[in-house]
Amino acid sequence: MASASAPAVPQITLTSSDGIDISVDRSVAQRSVLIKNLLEDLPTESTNEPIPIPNVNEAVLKKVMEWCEHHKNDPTTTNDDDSDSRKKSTDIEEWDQRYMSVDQEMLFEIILAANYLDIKALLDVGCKTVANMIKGKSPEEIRKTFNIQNDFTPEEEDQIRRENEWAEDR
Amino acid sequence: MPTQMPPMPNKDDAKLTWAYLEAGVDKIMNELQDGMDMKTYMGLYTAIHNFCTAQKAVSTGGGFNSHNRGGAHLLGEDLYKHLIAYLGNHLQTVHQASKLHSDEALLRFYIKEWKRYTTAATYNNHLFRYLNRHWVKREMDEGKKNIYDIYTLHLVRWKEDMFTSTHLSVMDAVLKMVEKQRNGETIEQAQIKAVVESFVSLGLDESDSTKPTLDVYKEFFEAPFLKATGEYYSRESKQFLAENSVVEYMKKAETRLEEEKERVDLFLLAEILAPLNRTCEQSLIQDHSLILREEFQNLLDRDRQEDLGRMYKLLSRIPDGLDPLRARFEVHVRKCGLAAVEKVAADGENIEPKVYVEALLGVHTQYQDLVNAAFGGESEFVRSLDNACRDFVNRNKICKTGSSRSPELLAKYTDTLLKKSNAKMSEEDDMEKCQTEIMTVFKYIEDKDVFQKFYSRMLAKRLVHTSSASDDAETSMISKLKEACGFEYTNKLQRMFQDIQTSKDLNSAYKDWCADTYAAEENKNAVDATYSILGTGFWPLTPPSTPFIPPQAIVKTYERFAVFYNHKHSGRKLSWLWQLCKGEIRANYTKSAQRIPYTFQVSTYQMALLLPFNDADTLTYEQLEETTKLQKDTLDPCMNLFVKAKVLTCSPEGGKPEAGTSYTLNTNFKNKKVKVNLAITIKSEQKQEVEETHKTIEEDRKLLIQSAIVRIMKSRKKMKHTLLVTETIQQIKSRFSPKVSDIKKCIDILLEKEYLERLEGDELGYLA
Amino acid sequence: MPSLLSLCHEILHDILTNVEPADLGKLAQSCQTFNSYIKGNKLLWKDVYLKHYDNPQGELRRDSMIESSTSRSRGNKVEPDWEGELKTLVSVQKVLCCHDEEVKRNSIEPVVTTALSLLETSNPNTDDSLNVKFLSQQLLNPQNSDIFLFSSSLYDQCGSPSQYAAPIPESRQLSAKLHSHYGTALEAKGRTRNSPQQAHPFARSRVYDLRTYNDFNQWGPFTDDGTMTTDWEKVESILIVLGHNLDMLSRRCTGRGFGKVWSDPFGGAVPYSYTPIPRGCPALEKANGTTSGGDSSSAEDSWGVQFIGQPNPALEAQDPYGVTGTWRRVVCFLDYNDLYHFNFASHVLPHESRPPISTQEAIRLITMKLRVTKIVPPSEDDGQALPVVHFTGTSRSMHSSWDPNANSRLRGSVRLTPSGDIRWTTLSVFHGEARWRSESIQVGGLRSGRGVVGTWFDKDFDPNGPAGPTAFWKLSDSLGREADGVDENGLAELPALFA
Repeated sequence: MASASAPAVPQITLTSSDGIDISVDRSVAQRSVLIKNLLEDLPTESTNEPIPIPNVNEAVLKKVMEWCEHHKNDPTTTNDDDSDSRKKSTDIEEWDQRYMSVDQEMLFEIILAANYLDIKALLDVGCKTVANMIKGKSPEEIRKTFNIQNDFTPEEEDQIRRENEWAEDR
Repeated sequence: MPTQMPPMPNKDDAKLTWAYLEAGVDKIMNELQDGMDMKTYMGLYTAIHNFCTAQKAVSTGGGFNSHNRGGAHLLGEDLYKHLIAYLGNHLQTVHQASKLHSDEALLRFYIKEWKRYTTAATYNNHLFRYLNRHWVKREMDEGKKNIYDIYTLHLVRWKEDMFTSTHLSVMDAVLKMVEKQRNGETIEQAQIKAVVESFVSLGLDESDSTKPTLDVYKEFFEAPFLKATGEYYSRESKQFLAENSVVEYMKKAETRLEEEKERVDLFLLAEILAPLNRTCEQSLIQDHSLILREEFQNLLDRDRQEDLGRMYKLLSRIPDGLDPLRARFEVHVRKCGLAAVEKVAADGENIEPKVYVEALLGVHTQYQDLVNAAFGGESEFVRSLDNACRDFVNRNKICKTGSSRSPELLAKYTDTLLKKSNAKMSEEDDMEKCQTEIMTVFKYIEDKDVFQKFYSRMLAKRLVHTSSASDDAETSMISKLKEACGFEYTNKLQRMFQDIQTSKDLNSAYKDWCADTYAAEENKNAVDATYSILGTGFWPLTPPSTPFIPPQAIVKTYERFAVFYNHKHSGRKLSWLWQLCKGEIRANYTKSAQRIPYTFQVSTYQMALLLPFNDADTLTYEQLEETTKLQKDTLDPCMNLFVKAKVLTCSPEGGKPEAGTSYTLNTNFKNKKVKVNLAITIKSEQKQEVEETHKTIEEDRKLLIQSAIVRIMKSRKKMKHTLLVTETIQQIKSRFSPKVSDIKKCIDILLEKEYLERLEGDELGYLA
Repeated sequence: MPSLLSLCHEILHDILTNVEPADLGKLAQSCQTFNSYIKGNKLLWKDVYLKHYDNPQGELRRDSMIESSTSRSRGNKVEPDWEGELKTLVSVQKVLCCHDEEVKRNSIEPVVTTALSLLETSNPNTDDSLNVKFLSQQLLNPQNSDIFLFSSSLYDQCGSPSQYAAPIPESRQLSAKLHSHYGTALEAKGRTRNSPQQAHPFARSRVYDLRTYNDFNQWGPFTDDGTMTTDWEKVESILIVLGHNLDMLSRRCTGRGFGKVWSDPFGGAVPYSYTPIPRGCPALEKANGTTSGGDSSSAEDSWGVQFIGQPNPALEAQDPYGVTGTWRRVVCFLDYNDLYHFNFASHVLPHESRPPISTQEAIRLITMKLRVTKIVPPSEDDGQALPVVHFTGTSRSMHSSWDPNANSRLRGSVRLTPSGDIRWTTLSVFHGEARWRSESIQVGGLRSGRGVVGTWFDKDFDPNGPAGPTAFWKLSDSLGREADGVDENGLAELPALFA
């Protein structure tokens, strides 16, 4: 069924850290600057050799490629300058919100993978998602959300609360 | 045999990590041509990533985290420093190897190494991207000096460790090659192009390394290149000029300049075009401008348009290159103009206007063509041409007696052109062309008022005597003058022309009126007359200089017209300008066998002198004088003419027109034509008229100057004497060039008339 | 297994720059790791600050401009205390967002001071400014505007029940200052919450009260203690009167776009916000070609330009105030009989207010062309940070040429007041004789687009007047005709307004 259009969409193969080959559209994989640069530097079209991705396992890699597939037509921001993103609000578009509705472990895995594969937009969405989980929470709520141990002594805790009174609600 | 990669290091171990990376970087630097496998590529990237991200917010204690500062430290500095050291070593090797080469071999080596190095730099930049993204960026954000992204770091190292020690020999090789090409040999241009590109890449803005600058290229390529170019052409041009003519040299220089321009497109940077041109122009043109200019006169004398054009183009490329040419050109044209006039001036006073004007035009046309063809119609040369023409048109041999000769002759030439008698001038094109030529000369005339004066007198005559060739030609000429000098200049001319048109209508209205008012028989017997009504003040005409009693028949005729005219325009006074009237009378008395009687075309004065012979065959001088009341000045020439034309015979024979002489009608009068024109103006009359015209010009000028002075003083109230004189010249010079002494005289007159008063300190005041 | 605390520094940084400033305080209390990561992490505080507010270090040109003009600069780019600033802003924001009127009224001083310093450090382009956006949004809350914008003494006379003068004079001044910067947007929109009265008749009564013109304030908008400190309550009243008059004028003339100057909240009220009118658009050029009403003005104009001569780039480069160029001026005045009657016909006690004036006064729009002539160091009585710049120029009425009072030469100076405001003095010169003088304060600071607001009066300080409000703002750096093409065309048919 896809045979007619298949040659028009070049495919490449990625090998996850756990040794699974994943086939994706070249243009989708190129959302990753790492892969994009690699394809530029190494002439692979002829060999179609799989690209090893030693830092990302199959589950995460597939999840990341899902995001890339959805965003494959977004304009690519090639400049590393983040002055634009600074202005952007912390809003996250609806699809990305749903995409990020995963358990915390997966969420951090996605962030790490995005950082490694150099997919800036995905990294941003991930960081914003985590930031939103922090916003407006009390210290105790934060500890609970992220499973953090309160390692202050009572004296320390008292002092630190005073230091941070400016942040208290009235 | 590709180097074997060591095993992937532990991410926390800087030493092992670097050992691993160094092997990889070395591979990229030296063995890229053997290809690179993905595993190594990803391995290198991953090693760098893992190393940089090893630091966690959670303090693991020991290791790298010991020098954590303020919780914000990023890892990467070690890698960066190692890379610098590696590049230093690598380039040291390359530099050593470069010493084995020279000239073209060196160029080849340099370019090969440069390409290899920059390709490797691109790879490394990608592999070290994680370092770029975080550590390098942070360092640069914090304003650290000498931290660059990895690619730029490669360039910086090349510049320090390679370029500094090799650029002289590289440039040496480049310049040798360029010299070869200038000498006509074929060279590998691509190599020079590659060197240019390399030098350009090394230009880095210290404050913002992402912005390329041309500094390095300008200092180390452009400057020596220009120097060598200048020297080459200095040498060549000196030698060439020593062996060849100036004209040949100009061709050579032209070719060389063109070649250098092409060279820029072939393998240089477009930015060099302007300084390269300047350098070449200095060596090829500026340094030889004296010799070139010397040749200019030669070329002018031989009218070598093409070579003159070549010289113009060359000298126009250097600052102030053309000014000396323009000055020489002006002198030359003036000389030619004077010579042309000299040639035709043999006839002196009696020079034919046409010959004179054509002589002036000839020179103008020749050099106008030259300006257009050789000097591209450049406005400064046009100005020089105008200066020269203005000079020789107004000051030449013919004008010795005064600059008013030129306008006078030009006006006369115009008159002959516009007169009916000029049968040849039938084609409208020719008329248009001639008028345009007249305007060309007119433009240069300084005493435009003299032209106006003569022109209006002659126009008046053409109109009164209906001797104009065509109304269209007249109108066209007037509008040309109007365009050149404005409405005021041609106002009167236009009014004269209108008067004649109105008179035509008036005459036909008069005919109708006559038919209505008088019986047919009466009309038939009346003199058939045509009238021109000329407004006083617009026409340059004077009342008759002699008393005159017109013949009864004429009196009757004009009185009848006067009735009609007063009926139409009551209150206007008609004065008859008898000296301009003429008519025809039929000689029924002749004995000749021919059936048709002779018709004499005569002036009214002549008519008045002939008509009395209807009543007597012989009349004495005194009788004629008594009947007509004409003064001797007018009467005598008429009588002489009648005798000469054998209309009358006189007694005693050969008797002068004076008391005692008597005249008899010659009934044996014979002539080939049936119509005999007796109304010929006499030469002496013409000459007198010219003098009169000149005299009125002087009078008019005085009035013009005075009115200008009054106008100025009226608006200024007070003014210094000298300032007033300059201002007056300014106002008048479009009409003629007033003499300062004349202006001073006019000021004195106005002081006398108490229009002005003397104030303190050379100031004049206006008295209302 | 990855967790929040196991992330590397760069990722953690990316996450934390996306939280609200107050969240940093909460995070620091959650555990040792975050506490030590956040405390003293300058870059983190900086990036969070810049996410919410404009960069106070702004573009380089600001500092370089001042540095080139004086040796005394703002110091060598001291890095702002991001953490401290942000904490102050959080507490101010909390006041603005709370619902306790008492808390707000007690915080006028810290809130307005912070707001004014946000304006000082704002992005010059107020449309893009985070600071201006933040402040305007907060002031949309009527409770906030009542307390922070409408607490000068004027609002004891004309305010709604929830608008009244703050008890402390300093607070009244601050509120008036903030209001002067905010502009007349709320008045223009007719937003008169619970207030039956409009402010302008009361403001007008203050502006034309000749008792407020005295030797201590040199007849300008300064306090009466001789320190030449700006009296922002005066500036506020002048702005309300001129704003109202301009608004009426623009309504009558189907809005030629000059009311815009003051009707955007904080529009142009920040340093360096002046931007020249865009040049070369077809509408402008067309207007030039067909300048109507140019009867005598063209001659006048050529005279004017010739008189003030060509700009002098060397001098201009050292002028921190940006004097040279074409300016628009507005001058209002009461009919002299009305003015005299108002001031001298009835007797009031020294501190008693005169009655409101609802009569509308006359308004004149003027084009000024100014050029720097001299730059000298400040005298002892001036603010020391910037030099004193002298200028000359011409003033030409934009109405028909029949109003000879508007067509004159000008000379004047700009300097800092001891407290650091920018003070402009102008003298209108007729046939070589100075006649009118003006004293004004530039609202929004150095090279602001808002303009210069103050008073005009007889140059000999005639106690019988006349006197009135005036303001001017810059249109273009050029002295040529093209600079004011569009306005000139539009205003040639302006009627002069008398009620």
